[in-house]
Amino acid sequence: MASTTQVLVPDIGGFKDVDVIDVLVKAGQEIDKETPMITIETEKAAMDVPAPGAGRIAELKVKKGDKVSEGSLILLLESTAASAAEPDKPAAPKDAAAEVAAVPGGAPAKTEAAAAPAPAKREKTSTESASNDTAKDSTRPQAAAPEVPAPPPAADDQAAAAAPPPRAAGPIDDKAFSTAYASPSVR
Amino acid sequence: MTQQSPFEDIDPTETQEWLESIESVMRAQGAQRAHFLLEKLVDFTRRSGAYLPFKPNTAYLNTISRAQQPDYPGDRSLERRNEAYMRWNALAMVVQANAASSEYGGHIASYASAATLYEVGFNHFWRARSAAHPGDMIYMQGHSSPGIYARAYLEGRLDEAQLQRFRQEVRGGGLSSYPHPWLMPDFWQYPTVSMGLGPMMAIFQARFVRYLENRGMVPATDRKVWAFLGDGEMDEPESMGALTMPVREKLDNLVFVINCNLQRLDGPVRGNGKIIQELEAAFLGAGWNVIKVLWGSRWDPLLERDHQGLLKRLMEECVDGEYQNFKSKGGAYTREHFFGKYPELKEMVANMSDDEIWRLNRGGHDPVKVYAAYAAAVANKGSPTVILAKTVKGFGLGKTAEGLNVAHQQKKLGEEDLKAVRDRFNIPVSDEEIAGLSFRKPAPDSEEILYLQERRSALGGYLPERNSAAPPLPAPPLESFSALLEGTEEREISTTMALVRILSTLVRDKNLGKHVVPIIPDEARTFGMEGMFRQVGIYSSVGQLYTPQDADQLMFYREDRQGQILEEGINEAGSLCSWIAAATAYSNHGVSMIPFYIYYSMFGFQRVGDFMWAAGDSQARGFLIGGTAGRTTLAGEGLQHQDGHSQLVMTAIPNCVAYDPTYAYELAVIIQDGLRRMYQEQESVFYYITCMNENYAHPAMPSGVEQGILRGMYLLKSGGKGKVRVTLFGSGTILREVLAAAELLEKDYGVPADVFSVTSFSELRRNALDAERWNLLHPTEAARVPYVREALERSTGPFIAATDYMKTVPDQIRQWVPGRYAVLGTDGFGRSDSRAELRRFFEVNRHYIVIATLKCLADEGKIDVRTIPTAMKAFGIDPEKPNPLTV
Repeated sequence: MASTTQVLVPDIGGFKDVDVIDVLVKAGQEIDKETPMITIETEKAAMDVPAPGAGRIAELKVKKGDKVSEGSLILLLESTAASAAEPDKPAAPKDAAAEVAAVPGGAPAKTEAAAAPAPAKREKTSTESASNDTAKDSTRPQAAAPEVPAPPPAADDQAAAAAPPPRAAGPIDDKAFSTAYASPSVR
Repeated sequence: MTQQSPFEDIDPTETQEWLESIESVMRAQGAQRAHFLLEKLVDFTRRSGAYLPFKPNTAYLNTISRAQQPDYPGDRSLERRNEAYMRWNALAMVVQANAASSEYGGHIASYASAATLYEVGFNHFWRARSAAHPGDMIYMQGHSSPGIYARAYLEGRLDEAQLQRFRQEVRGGGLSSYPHPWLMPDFWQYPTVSMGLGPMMAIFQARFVRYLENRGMVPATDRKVWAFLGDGEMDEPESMGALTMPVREKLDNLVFVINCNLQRLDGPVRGNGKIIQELEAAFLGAGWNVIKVLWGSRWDPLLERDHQGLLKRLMEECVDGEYQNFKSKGGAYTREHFFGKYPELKEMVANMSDDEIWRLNRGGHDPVKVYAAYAAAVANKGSPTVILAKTVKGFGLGKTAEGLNVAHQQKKLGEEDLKAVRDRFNIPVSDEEIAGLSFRKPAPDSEEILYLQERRSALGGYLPERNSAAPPLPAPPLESFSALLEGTEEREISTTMALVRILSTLVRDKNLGKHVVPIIPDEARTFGMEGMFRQVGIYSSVGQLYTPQDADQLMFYREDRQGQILEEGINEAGSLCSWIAAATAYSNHGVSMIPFYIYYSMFGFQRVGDFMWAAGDSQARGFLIGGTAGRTTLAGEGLQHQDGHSQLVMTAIPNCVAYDPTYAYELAVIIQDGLRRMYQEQESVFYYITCMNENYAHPAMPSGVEQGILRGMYLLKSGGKGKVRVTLFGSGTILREVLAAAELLEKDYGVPADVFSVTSFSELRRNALDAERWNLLHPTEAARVPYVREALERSTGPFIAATDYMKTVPDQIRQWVPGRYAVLGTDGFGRSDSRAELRRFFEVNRHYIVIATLKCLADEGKIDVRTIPTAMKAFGIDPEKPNPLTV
């Protein structure tokens, strides 16, 4: 059931022909998602490129001293049945993009939508706008702030002076009261 | 503040109606609803265009009313007795020392004002580290140390001989003036006495507890961080500088107790205002839970009879300068000048004697009020708490100190005052014994001591107690950094990049990886560390609630609850506090953490040096990395950024080990050995290492140089054959200029040069001074040879050194250099230009090194002096160029 995927160098921020200064994995090795595969070095920074998914390395395509750019082939990854079957959650950026045919190693939010099972994704190929759109699409519950509950319709500027509508008498909640007492904006 | 007085009411009837209606809302629908309506009203009024001044203050009353306060769980009479003994012994300790000699100094008034604040904590709240609990972390106020010793004496942890040696430590068995873990490593945990450091360190400690818990390094518990501060201390910018972070981080494990005795060293903290109200406003504004403890129980009956609100009004009108007077001038004065302002109030206290009026106590001296505040602080959820406790400076010390401006300096009390203290607190000392100031404590099987011991044992043991046991961490073998040892061939990288590679290697290490804490003050991209954002994540207590803008890139900005990087923002002081918390985790959390704080070297010691000093006192273990260092290496940034002295100032801290490496392999050797010393051998030192941003090729490590790198110097390159020869020293990026100069000397002047890489002039100096000291004290034994001498045994002078630091740095080893010694350095203000131009300006480039060498040779008669002007002409050096120090 194993399928082989190409793992590519992801978007590394505009750098081209950067040095591969270390290869951290071997052919035949079983790796997990996020396992560092190679270390590349730009003029200013060295960074590890993590694996986009789990599997067995079928073939290494780079060696120390090579120069790579975005899209260069790093290795061929044989995904095991278990890892291939596990679909990624579409919303979380770090989880996206694991089992498409050609995967930019580690690039989290970019998807080749045709093969992706993620339902919420819009088909976009332009890298720049894709990221923006993904941001909009991946609305999460935390992001959607609930509206402040509307005040009762009767409340107008004179209402507070009038006697409040009769309700079942409740004891004063001391804890909440102390919060109210301390709130600076009231005073 | 020219606001309308809240006490002037043009229509009291209308006011009453509003109050009644809000009261009925509270009764019927609860306080939350009342709060909502009030917010609505305020918002409506503002939106209608009215100007409503923001006033983040509550009434000048206790936050917790008498009705809300819990029952006191302790035996107040026994606690009062014990507290009295502590007051007496604390006083006796200071007065005794100063009777012997006034040079010892000491403070009695601070503890006198804070005793109850401490005792309620010791008896009812603070848990010691035990099998059941990791222990609360108490940052004691430095000036209260005599009282803390006095308690340990009652507990039987300190004996009389030790109390007699307060501030007399040199011959052993003494007690340090203030909390110093370096001097009393089994007792004090946190150095707090430099004002303002305690509060900030406590805030970042509380956050670090959460960091460790969220990352699963320690189990989550309800342990608290308590910090005791003074109201005068709050004027230090550090004290208030980090107030918003604990609110953002919802640190309900943090409690500040500010002892507001209204006085600082010279006089009132706010004679013309009210420090407590000022602090309340600032803390409330930042979002803290503020609990004011102003008035003791004796005020309660008066306040309950204050139906017209006149007493409350008077309390609010009165300024701190007057409050101080009432305490120092007694009951009759208070009746006349406080209550006397309103006839109704004077009438209210008509039946009270002057003595009763004077005894109307402040909240901070009333255990019931203090207990209520602490209980509320401990129960508070979702925000940090500050307790503002009003006290009297020199409480109970009588006419020479209580409430007097001179109280802080008071170290000597006359016999009459001592008798007054004795009588006030009922200490069993006879009139005859009083002058002897003997220490007093009840017998170990007395009711008092049994109670005291029972309370501490119920809370897990004694406090403070410093524990330094943590499992050692095995340092990775040097081979794990092989990528750095092998050199880069033609690839040009900076030592900053090499450092990041070491860090990435370390975080992957199975044993050490999760212990590494990278700390950055918003400079990760400056140092090329952005790759680590993705690799280990940035710590965030709430994870990441948004999709980062750069989510589609390899190195995206990843925040995570388990993130490892502490990204502190533009905040060197806070970053350093985080570093201290991590660097002392072995002691406070029983788990060693390996912090790497990476910052612009210029914004290190000269910005936050006092915190670094406190780190040394704390026996911190970790790495400080002065990034993009060197006066001429950080080329464009100019005067404020170019560091040419951190290598000098950092070594003022005795347990700081400083290095200025040039090559990736040197850095790897230094860091590997640092890991071994600090985490495997558990030595209490910390490292300062400068890294540069100049890219160049790094050679593979020559064999057998490891020890030389660590001890401070090794022979990097031997010159060719030749009779007239020289020895050159270089470190950091300037070592490369030295190598270039060696080449020029050999090729163009026929002078072969041996080049030493000097990784640490300060380590060489420390080693040499130590050997000399030993030789001084052992004149008849075989003399020890400083390592500098040993390393230069076969070298030929003259010797010429060049670094990117002040000339004083290489000058540190002058007396052990076996021959003529010239040093080049970067004394003067930096400025912007290219590296080449700057090195020419500061006279540290290869040409100046050649000139300096030729001059030495000419002085020794080894070459013709006329060679030099010719060389200068060839190099384009203007002899009339101004001294860089002066321009």
